[in-house]
Amino acid sequence: MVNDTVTLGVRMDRIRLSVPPGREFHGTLRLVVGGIGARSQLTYEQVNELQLAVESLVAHRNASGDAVVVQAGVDDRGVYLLVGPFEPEDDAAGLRVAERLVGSVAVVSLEDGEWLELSSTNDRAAAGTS
Amino acid sequence: MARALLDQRQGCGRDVVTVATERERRRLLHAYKSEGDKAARDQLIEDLMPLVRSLALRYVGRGEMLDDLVQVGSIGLINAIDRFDPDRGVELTTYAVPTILGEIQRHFRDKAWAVHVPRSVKELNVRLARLLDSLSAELGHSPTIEELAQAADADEDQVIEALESAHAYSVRSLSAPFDEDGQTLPELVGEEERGYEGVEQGAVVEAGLEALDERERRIVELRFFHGLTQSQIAAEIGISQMHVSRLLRRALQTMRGRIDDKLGDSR
Repeated sequence: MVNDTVTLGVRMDRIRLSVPPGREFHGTLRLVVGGIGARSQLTYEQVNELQLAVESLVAHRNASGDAVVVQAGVDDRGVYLLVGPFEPEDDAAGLRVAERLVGSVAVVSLEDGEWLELSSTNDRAAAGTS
Repeated sequence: MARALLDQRQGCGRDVVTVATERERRRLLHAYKSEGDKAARDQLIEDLMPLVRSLALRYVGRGEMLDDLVQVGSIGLINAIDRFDPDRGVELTTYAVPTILGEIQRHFRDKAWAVHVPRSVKELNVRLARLLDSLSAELGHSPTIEELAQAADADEDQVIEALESAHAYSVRSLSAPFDEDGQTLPELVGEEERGYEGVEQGAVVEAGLEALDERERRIVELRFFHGLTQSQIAAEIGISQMHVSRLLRRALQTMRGRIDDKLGDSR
């Protein structure tokens, strides 16, 4: 993890992005999330709102001077993002907004703290019609 | 007062109306400049918005939405009203026209694209905006990036880049100040209650909503409190889905700016 630049490491279908403080990096964040969404056959609207949710969460964390890590798991059924470390009590409202923008949101505990898991699924694939 | 002017407009010749309107504007200006009458200022702004729209129409077709240009122009109008000196001996409209045009031109020159976006990408963005709506109607769902790419005869990467370019607009110039030091916009959904009533009861949230213009507020309500999708909102309001997306993002940023101010004041 690097604090003064955007680092992107790609391994198989997992992507890890560290977003340093500064809105100038949010365009990169949106591009990456957009690309991930496209890879999973999400609709434009799903991609757009996933970008909005992640950007909002990252901006909040960035405001405190911290880099934020976004980890993505991608498959044909959808996108699974981990954003964190996340402090639910610090941004409870952000959690609510994310819930309304993204299909599924959950707080998960990992070794280095709590993370927010966002998942947006390809509805047609989930229904077996793709 | 507006009704009275309208009645005059319907019953009298154009010149009479113009004189009456200018006379009324002078009265409103006096009320605002001398007595700080904010209602008079608001009335002036409302009265002159058709002028802003007519000036903005000159710039349609250059890659900017008319509504955005009207918003930019309205900033010029407000500046003109605030800076206008009635003692100069010219009419307000004479002073306001170059100020409004200057604001729109400055927007194109300095602010329309915060980063350099190649012309081909801008053009693809415009095409995608149209395709989004037509494909949504045709397919019955919001199209995937792949479907958009096929329809636009472009690569998926190009589509993503072009869609992202829509965010290269310096939307902050159209909205309230936005800083990075405070909490995020998400406060709009409240801390304790999930219902709309609970949300609106929060003074902070209310301040955020009040920072929005009528259409932005409507979009936020439809999306977050009524659960409509962006495409449904687009149909409801009569604008493109991509425009809804941009307005939604702008609205949330505006709310965050206002909420930050509110929280800053209370600290």
